[in-house]
Amino acid sequence: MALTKLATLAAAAFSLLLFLNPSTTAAAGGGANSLVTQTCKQTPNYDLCVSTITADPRAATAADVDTLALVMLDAVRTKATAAEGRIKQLMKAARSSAMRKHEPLDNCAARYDVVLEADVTVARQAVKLGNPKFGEGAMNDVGVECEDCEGGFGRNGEKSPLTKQNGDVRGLADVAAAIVRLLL
Amino acid sequence: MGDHNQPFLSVSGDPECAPVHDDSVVDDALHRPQGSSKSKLLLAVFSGIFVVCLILAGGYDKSGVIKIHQLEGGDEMGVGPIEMPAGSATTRPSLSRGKSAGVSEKANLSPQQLLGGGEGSGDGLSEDFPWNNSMLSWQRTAFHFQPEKNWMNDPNGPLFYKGWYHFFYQYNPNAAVWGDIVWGHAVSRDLIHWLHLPLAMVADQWYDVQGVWTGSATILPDGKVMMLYTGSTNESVQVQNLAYPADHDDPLLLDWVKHPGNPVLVPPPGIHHKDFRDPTTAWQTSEGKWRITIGSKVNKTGIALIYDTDDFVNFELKDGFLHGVPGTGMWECVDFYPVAVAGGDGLDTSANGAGVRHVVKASLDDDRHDYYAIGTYDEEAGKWYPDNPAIDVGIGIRYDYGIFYASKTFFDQSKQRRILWGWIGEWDSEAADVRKGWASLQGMPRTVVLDTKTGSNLLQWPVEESESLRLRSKEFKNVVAKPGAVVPIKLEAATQLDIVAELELDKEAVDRVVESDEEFKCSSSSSKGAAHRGALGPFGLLVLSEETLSEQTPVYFYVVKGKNATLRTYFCADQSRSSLANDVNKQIYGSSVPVLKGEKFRVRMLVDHSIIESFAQGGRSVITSRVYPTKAIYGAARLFLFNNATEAGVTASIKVWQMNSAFIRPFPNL
Repeated sequence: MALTKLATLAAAAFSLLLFLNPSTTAAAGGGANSLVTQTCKQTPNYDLCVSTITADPRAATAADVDTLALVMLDAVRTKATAAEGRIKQLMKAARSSAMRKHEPLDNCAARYDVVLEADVTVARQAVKLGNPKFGEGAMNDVGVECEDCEGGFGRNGEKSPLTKQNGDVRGLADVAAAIVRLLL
Repeated sequence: MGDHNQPFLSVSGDPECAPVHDDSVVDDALHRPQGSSKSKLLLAVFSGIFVVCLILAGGYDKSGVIKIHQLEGGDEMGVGPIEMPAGSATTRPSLSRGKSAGVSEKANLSPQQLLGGGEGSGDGLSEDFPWNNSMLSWQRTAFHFQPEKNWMNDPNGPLFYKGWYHFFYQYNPNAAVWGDIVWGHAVSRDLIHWLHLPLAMVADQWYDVQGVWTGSATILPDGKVMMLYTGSTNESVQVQNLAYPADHDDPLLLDWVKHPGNPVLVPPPGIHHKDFRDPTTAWQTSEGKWRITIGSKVNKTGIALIYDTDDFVNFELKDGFLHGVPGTGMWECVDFYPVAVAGGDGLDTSANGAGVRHVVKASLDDDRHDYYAIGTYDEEAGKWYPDNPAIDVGIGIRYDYGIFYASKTFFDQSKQRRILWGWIGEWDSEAADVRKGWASLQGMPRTVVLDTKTGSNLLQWPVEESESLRLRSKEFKNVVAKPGAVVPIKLEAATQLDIVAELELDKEAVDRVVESDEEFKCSSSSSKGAAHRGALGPFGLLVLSEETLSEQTPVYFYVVKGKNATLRTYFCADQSRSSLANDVNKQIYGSSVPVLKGEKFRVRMLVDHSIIESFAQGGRSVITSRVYPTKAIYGAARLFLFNNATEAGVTASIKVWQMNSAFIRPFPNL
């Protein structure tokens, strides 16, 4: 029967979608709590915000926006650490093939060092101690550092191998900045 | 010449933030319960609806994403500082300082804003220069207070004691970014030639272990000093603590003792433990008690709490607040002080009575700007009322339309003046700060008095001791700049300057031009800044500029002839082409400035490497800028007079001094 086929198709699609959207399902299943949704509505990327936060175990019991801010800052740190890892891989490859220093990668390494050692560190302290303006500034700076990392390849006449990483880190930092702003 | 008499624009600031964008459709999709029915039909129906909702959610993804609105650069005097377009809950507030990214004053800049894209920056594809050490080391100032290295923020506890001006400050001894905050300390004889001393207070008690934060000094009638400051406790609670000199006979006040009974104040009921900081200097009440105020907030209403004490140890919270303004958010670094109606000398913080007005000032956490208002203090009620509620604290006048925050005044009893310190952050990237190993400056200390000509604003002016830095001068009398002209001001050097200029518009042109209904804001005009040409402006100086103008920082007046031939004047700074680098502030900012009948356009500028402080009309409007050129540095920096008005010529008389270094260094032989 056509309806059975349709039902099977729909079921398959449903299962596939469930499979592909674990965080959405987790949210739907566990119930993305209203603090998370209310907070994420005030960020530039609601879906990224919700999916990132709800993937963290702290989301289920988070009682204040401060906790959500820390969760997002940790996400920035994780993504930036991964980006830094990729940069190091690329630097190793560049060293083994080229004679001269690879300026754009060196620049990116320095920039991501600042993202991790300065920006994320400062932001966590700022949220924890209740001086959130420093945290917002730090997360805004992440965007600047990512842009400069990206721009360094253009200056060198190359295509950036880190566009996705830079975009991802920056996207998370923008959300983090918006959450920290709520603490002001 | 038209009548220049201009009251401030009345303010219609929208005090409340816009409501949160409603994304309920997306919510529904996420909350859609999974089908539990075993019926294939029911499953099909649920699956179908689920799929449809997900598709819809995907479609809403685009519009559901709340865009970061481009920040408006610069607030205008008399206009609400936080203009939130309806339904844009995530709009960042109007750019105050246009801080660049990073920790200091960078908070309000989105990367788009920071990287600008003004006319001259080549839309991001400009040949920017990666920073080198020569460019970075040029940025250090010659005569502005800064520690030898690392991070600084708020000024703390300034006072004059036994022949020395003391300056304390928020300091990170470990890095060029905010954190691990302790109290730095320096002294000088003249507010200019500072000598660094050892740290005054470190984070060694449970009640300040996470930060020895901002505080203020009170000098008692017997000469003893009481220092109240905020500590961030081991549990991240903000408390107030008392400290005093270990040895009151030590003019250098090297060592400080923390009161054993600290903290002396903890957050009162109804006040969040992270919204309670920055106690003020105390002033005496007619009952003989000491009174302080501490900023805080209740929801989005910024407030100033008031406490009375006899001994700086036991405090009584007074009912109500000294004052509060809805929608302004957390009030940091509140300041409260008297000014004389007759102008002239400053007043002791306890002064009161006829001929005295009181100023309330707050640093707004929300937009990183310092606002003040003038009003009446009712000591008995413990309340203060603004003269003009339309330009109340936080929605009206700012000390400075550039980068300037956490400011604090003190009464200098030796010269009977009230002096204003302000933290000047960085407008570059955090990476640059880390690389150059330092971040932040203090502004040149300014005297503060009531403007007796307008009666409704303060005048700020660099302390007279700044003139002791003046070396050789050059005068340029009656320099004519026709419409569209850029006139070089030939100097031996152009990075350490004190500039005093008087400018006049061609009177015949002013009379001739037709009235315009142009609504001008320094930050508007499609971000063209000084390149936007009107009949009577812009005109002014190009500072830290390069010979070919590849880099230039215009500081200028813009005059509009409005209804009934009244002239409105604006005073702006334009950083959109200040540097070929991409990771620095590119904003345009400023405000309107009253220019009274018979007054010429006057500006004084202190140029000290990467800081420019510009004072218009004797200090009626002030703009501090942090500039990071890559080419217009060292011997390549130039100064120009420019006139981009289309109708009127400009005649300027300019005097420029080369400024000496202040030789700020560690106190010798300590």
